[in-house]
Amino acid sequence: MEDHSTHGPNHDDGKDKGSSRRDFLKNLGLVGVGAATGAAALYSGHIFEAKKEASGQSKILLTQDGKLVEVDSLEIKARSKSGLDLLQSHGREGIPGKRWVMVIDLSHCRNARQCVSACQDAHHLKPEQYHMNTLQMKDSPDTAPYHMPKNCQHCDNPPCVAVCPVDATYKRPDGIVLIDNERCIGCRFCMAACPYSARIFNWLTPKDAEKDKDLVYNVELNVPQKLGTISKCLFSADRCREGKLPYCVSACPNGVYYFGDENEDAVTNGTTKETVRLSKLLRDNGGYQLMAELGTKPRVYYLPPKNRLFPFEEAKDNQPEKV
Amino acid sequence: MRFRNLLLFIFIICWASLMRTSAQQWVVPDDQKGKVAPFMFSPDLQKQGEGIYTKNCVSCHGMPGKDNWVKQLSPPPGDLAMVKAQKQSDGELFYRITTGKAPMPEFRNILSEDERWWVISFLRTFNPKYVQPNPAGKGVFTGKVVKLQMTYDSVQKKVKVFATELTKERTMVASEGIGIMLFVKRYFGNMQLGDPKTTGKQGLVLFDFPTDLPGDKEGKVELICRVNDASGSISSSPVTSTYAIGVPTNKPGLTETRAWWSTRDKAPVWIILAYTISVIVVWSIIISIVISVIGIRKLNRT
Repeated sequence: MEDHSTHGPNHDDGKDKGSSRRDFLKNLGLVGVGAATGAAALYSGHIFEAKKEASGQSKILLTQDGKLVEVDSLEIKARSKSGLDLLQSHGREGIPGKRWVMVIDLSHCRNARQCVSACQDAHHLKPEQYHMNTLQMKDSPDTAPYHMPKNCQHCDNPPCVAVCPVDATYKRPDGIVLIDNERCIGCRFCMAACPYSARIFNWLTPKDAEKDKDLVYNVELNVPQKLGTISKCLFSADRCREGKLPYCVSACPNGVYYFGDENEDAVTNGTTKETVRLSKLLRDNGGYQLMAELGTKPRVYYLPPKNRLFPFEEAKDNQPEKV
Repeated sequence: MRFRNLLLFIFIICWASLMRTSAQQWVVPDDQKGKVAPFMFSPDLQKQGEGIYTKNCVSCHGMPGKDNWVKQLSPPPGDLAMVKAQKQSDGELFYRITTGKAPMPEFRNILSEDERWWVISFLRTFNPKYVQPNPAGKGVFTGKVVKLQMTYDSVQKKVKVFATELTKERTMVASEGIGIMLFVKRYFGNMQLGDPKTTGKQGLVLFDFPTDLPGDKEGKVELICRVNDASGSISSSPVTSTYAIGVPTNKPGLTETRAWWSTRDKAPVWIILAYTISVIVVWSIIISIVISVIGIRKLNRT
């Protein structure tokens, strides 16, 4: 009550003032709404104009099946990010229930080097960069020389993975050791750790850098190759996913390579496409692993170069290897 | 006597040279040369054939017309778009793909008959002059029509294949003397189990199933049986069945076990323990030093 009496005179005095304040607020509200509407109209007009400008431009793109198409800039939605995410997660998970294994029959190798060129084509490598190379071997002065294809051994106890400081190189549940060039910092610890010298480093601009610059990076193919990072044999993880034999295996004209799943106890020859039992093949032919004494547990087996089908010829087309 | 020896000598020379030429040439039997595809080639089939060609043939023959075949092989595989390959009849090509001759593999067990025809349909796209002969209709076929049935006998632990053939009277009777092959499906192709066997009087053939062959999680394996027929005189389609007779295989992924090369959550327990304990020890030393420094300062004030 006291309060009311004290406020009463003020209320009466400021009757005009109060109404003018209300008017002021009302006017202000009106002006505000008007301004906001105007601004919104202007802004939407601006966006429309911007859109109109953008839609005038079109871009020429390459589709997955190799066709050039012209697409309006507005209609291009950036899928590359999600595509990359998908490829990256695929690349980490591997193919469930599989344990890939390779068998190389040295008695069949005549250094046709089709495996090498198929591999280099698939992974966009320069002629002196090898994921897979055929080496000329001679174990002692008195023994016969032979050719030996050598790739990453995809060890079950991989020293390269142990030393990687950034989890860029990793082993998958299906046995493949991969390198993620998106994570690789180029420290080359893995190269030093690998006893098989299976890894290469992109010291110079990669072969198809210009052509591949718009490609989404595929960790299962190592394409596009990235400057200043590691590259290595991937057991053609992308082909395994499609149920196809690796590039090198299917390119061999001499029946050197077998590839398959250890869990199924079966390997398929890349040339004859004949599928045989892995355990029997290794048992009957004296299969062995490269430097097994190091405890690296390789997933590549070799069959000894006995009863060789082809005479040894000096290789003429081998490029000096640059790691 | 000397004359007889001379005759014998001449005969041996002739025979040896004959053997030599027959060893070098790849002769297609006359009855196979005229064999024609059972369907018309279409762009769809040619596309299918291209897929099979790039998967199975390109490693030696290269792509037709590009002259990128492997030059080191003997005899040379050659470019299949060239006249030498294209002047062969469909039957000849089919026979050569089917039987193979070293170093060319035989595709009898790798590609089905239809797949082999698709490859030929693809190869013919490189020959603009090619006109396909009329497909072999069902009425034209003069060979046997054989039907296969496959069962697994769990008592004898054997795979039984029963072959019946269609008689002229349109009845099915047990088929004797039919070569049967058994395969098990694997990821990259079918693996043959044992040697081909021939059906007995009851049209029956028994295959041993290896006791140590891995199946899937439940031990299921997919078996395929088909007629072993090089001459093409038997018409039959392969039969596929799945049985839980393999060794159940469910091996964990190779990153499941703890290993020192693995990521943090799969690191060995001793590494995690040693690391945690050393971190705790170092921090407790640092904290105890700080506490004693504060204690010394307090002492100094009083």
